[in-house]
Amino acid sequence: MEAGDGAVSRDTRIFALCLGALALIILGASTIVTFAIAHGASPSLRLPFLMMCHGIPHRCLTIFGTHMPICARCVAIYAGFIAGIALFPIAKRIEERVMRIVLAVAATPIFIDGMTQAIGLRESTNPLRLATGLMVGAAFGSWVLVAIETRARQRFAES
Amino acid sequence: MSDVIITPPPPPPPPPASEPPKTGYDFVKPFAFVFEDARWINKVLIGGIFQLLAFMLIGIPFLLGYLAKLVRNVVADATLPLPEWDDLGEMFSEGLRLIGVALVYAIPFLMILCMVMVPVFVVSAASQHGNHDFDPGPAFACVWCLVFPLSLVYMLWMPAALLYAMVEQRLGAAFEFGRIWRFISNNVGNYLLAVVVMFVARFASGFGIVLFCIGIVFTVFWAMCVTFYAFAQTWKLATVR
Repeated sequence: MEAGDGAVSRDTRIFALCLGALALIILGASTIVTFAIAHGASPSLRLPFLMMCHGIPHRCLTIFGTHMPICARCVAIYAGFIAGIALFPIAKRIEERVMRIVLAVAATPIFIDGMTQAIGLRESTNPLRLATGLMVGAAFGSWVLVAIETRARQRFAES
Repeated sequence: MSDVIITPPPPPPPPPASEPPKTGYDFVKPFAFVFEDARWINKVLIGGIFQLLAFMLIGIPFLLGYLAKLVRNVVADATLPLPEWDDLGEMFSEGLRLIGVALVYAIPFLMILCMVMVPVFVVSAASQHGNHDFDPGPAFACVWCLVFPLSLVYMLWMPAALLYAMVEQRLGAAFEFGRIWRFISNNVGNYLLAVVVMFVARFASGFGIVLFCIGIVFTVFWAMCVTFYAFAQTWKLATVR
């Protein structure tokens, strides 16, 4: 059975696995790199992370006495992805259309925070970056999972 | 008994021409087709979100899957080829497979980097440790001489390889080098036009930055749709595939 009652479709499982693995790998790698740099490794270990994040030191979280290679917002978004997977059992009871609205609402604070910072009106803070990133990461993760699952159920019903 | 006049059946209509006449390459259509769709704003907005998430890697498979669907719609001559964002699971799975194709094609680059850069880093680190002078400049120049022509070939070859994988929905098609070469060489005019469209779209997408910076993700998404439409049009008009 692919997407019957209670079961989760194959596509949903694949996506959840990829999303979770990606988040864990990037969070894990950035933590290991921070630990290594704090213990004397070359700061050039941060370079690969520049492909995905600016890594501006004052916007990054500080652990082991040194700043992480990715910013606080990115850390929160990846953590949010994991939270989104964890919330999926609850979120799958909600309609996909509603989840889309939830995502739009969750993205509003990060949009305002990011925009006002980008145009130089104000400087955000790490707690705010964490809160907004976590919200949007969790909402995105849940929404995509619900969307994939909804479609899989439709296909299952049609067949 | 009256004679029944049997009229002979009408002659069958002449067979249609073997193929409808093919029109020339439409240079404007790739730039305009997005806006011909009544729901283009919704589709581009969602595409922009996935484009934004491409920085975090998770958006890339969705985008590739979406573009594959777009290419198939163009090849099938759909009136509104811009697909709906309705089957995210399918897009994600197909996108993952296409990432696999891109990764396999990236192996030569990775090999060059491993063969040249790793020894350079090791020697550089050792010389720093022993206070010897070591200038890594020539080694980097050597890598550049190898990587630059290779990246040019990659840039020209990759769209055709992806096109094969997308249209035929088969990963192996992306590695049928003979077929891909014949496709490019026999349709070189249209193929180069598609490359020009790609460059123009990429350049134009840069202006998205004026839309409060965030606008660039939406214009980059539009540029990708334009690019893949252009290559799909080359496929559609191709005499040899």
